[in-house]
Amino acid sequence: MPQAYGRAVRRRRIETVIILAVLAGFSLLLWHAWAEMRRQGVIGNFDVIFEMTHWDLSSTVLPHSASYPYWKTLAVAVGNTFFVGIPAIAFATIVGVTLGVARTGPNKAASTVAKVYVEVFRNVPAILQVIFWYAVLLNGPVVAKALSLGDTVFLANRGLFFPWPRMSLVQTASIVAALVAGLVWLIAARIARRRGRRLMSGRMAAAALTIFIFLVALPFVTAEYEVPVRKGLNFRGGGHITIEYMALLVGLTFYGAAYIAEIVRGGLNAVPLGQIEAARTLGLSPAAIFLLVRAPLALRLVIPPLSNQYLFLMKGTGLGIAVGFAELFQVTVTSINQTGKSIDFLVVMMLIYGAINFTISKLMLVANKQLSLRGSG
Amino acid sequence: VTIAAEMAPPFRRASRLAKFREEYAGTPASAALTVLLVGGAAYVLWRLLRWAVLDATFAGDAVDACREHVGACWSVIALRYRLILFGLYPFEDQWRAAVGGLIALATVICACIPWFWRASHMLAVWVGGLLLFFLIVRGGVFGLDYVPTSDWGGLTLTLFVYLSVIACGLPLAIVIALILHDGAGMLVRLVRFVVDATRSLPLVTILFAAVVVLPFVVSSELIGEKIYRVIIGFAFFFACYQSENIRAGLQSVPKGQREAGKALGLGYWLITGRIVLPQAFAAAMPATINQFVVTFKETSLIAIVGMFDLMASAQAAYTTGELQPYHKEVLLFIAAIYFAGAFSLGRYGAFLERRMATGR
Repeated sequence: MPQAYGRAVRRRRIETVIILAVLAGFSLLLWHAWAEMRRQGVIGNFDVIFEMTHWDLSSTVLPHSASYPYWKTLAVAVGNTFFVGIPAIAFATIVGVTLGVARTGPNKAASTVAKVYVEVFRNVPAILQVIFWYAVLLNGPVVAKALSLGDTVFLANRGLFFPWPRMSLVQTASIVAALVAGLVWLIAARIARRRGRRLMSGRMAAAALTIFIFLVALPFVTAEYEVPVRKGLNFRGGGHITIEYMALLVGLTFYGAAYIAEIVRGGLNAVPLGQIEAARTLGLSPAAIFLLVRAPLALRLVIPPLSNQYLFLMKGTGLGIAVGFAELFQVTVTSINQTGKSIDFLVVMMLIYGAINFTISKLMLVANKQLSLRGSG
Repeated sequence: VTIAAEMAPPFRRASRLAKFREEYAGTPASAALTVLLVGGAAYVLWRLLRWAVLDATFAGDAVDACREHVGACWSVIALRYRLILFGLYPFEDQWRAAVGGLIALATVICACIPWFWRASHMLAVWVGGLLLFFLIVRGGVFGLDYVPTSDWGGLTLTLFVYLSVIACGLPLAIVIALILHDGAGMLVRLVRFVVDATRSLPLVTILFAAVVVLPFVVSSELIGEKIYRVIIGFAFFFACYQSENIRAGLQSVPKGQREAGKALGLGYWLITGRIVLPQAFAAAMPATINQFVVTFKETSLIAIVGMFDLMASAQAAYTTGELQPYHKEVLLFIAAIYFAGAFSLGRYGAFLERRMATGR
């Protein structure tokens, strides 16, 4: 049918023209914007990131000073982002898995408590929770009246103060050596397993694990601990985390835990009943059924939504700006306010967030692959 | 015969007591856990009750009286609820902000009723609701004083931004999903990249970028007011997430449906609009409602780019004057508002899922 064919070609042509026109319009807008931004100086050649900052960051996990260039300051900010993001992910996972298991467990009291927790913390915005904890901590006791735990851990409106080990070189070396050895061990075990062999017998592995724990734990036991001491309006010595950090960490943890609990519940409930009944038929105890059958099967289902939640928590660190915690977004905004080079910093920030996101999703993809390879066809 | 007679029936309806024991004290450990949790919950609830009700101050004009009480000071809410709900909207005209909030609420409720689920009705509800809201809250007509958007605030602003984001974002999400699903070539790759890049960024950064960058892209006469830039950035972000939900819905529509439409001689738009999209929407409904809930909570992030929404006005309510000690009351008050919205939307989503499950 040549006529219908001709009509199709004509339509295809019209569509192409429309798409090209839209793209041309967008390009024109962007070009106009680019020229305008260059004229007003909000966009530079990215040389601004090599200029000196002239301002300091408060409470960073990596050292920082006002004489740092911008790129170094941004690196410190990324350090802070991880410093809050990774513990938030870890704690949210621990709390969330506990709640998720409680919700699907046999005890009705536990499942009710978990359900109430999830509904409350999931339905209130994360930023509101962060600001709530911040306000509570900020209006907490002053240093002179700090809450204390056996006069070694103190909580005041300036943060949490706790004893911190002062390690000698030997002690630090012991921990580092043990960690390196452990890593080598893990890699060797994986290679061995891939070749269908075992690295060492179970008894050997148990002995190695004991030595590992011993090497890591001993320095912590023998080290001299520096206990924080009141000095004027502050504490001296020991470890210290600020209330901005605590508010962000607690807020993200509680919010994320509610979502993770739902993910875990969904995963556990999605395990086919036949699998559990089969395990029961084999005479496995309820605990064994859960640990050997239900949890491993649920883990596979849970990884994809869990990785989304981890990405969300990592991005959620951007809420640091609401309480003045120096993470990537907060530092980017301050940098823009200081230099006026909005686009340069926005682009750098977006690239960094993109890279963080990419890394986490790749890691989770690896985890997913590792888990799904075993057993299921 | 005798063997069968001696056996107990295979299933027996458990007595209520036995069921209770099974659920709360199946094993000694379970019983201990129950005692621990019930005790802990009772303690927490009792403390909460004493703080929030028994020892609290409710008197409307008695913030001073709060100092003598150890419990909550709800007087702060009575004192500042206007600021929290309506922000800096002109005091005498705040009834308009209240009416605007009710219109926004009515729009959402109408959109949730199945009777309105037709393209024409939906369009009427959303356009009508937003227009009415705009006329009453913005004023400048019917003898109402003009109130610039920079004076809008509180819950009214939150609801307006929420409605606008969905009204602008949903059509955009459909377009993006259709491009990604049906398109080909460079365009798909470009859109794919933009969507993925946006999804890898926190919403606050998108809002900030929109506020900072948009004035250079479009002339300031068009979107001079910040609120529109925020809405555009937010709607774009929403569309990038929602388009993935719709796309998943599009993928779930069997190929035969499209082919049947083609066999009837229908064109692309008719097939898409009448056959594919309705089914895709139905399949994407749970994810979509979830997106609506998330977006409702995320409206609180516009406070970061300097909008005076519910979150920001609440902060203002306790940071001004001598109300700093009563931050908990104010924040719990707005937490209750957010909770009411998010929780009921979530319940509605669960209801829809059940309804659709039985409909098949």
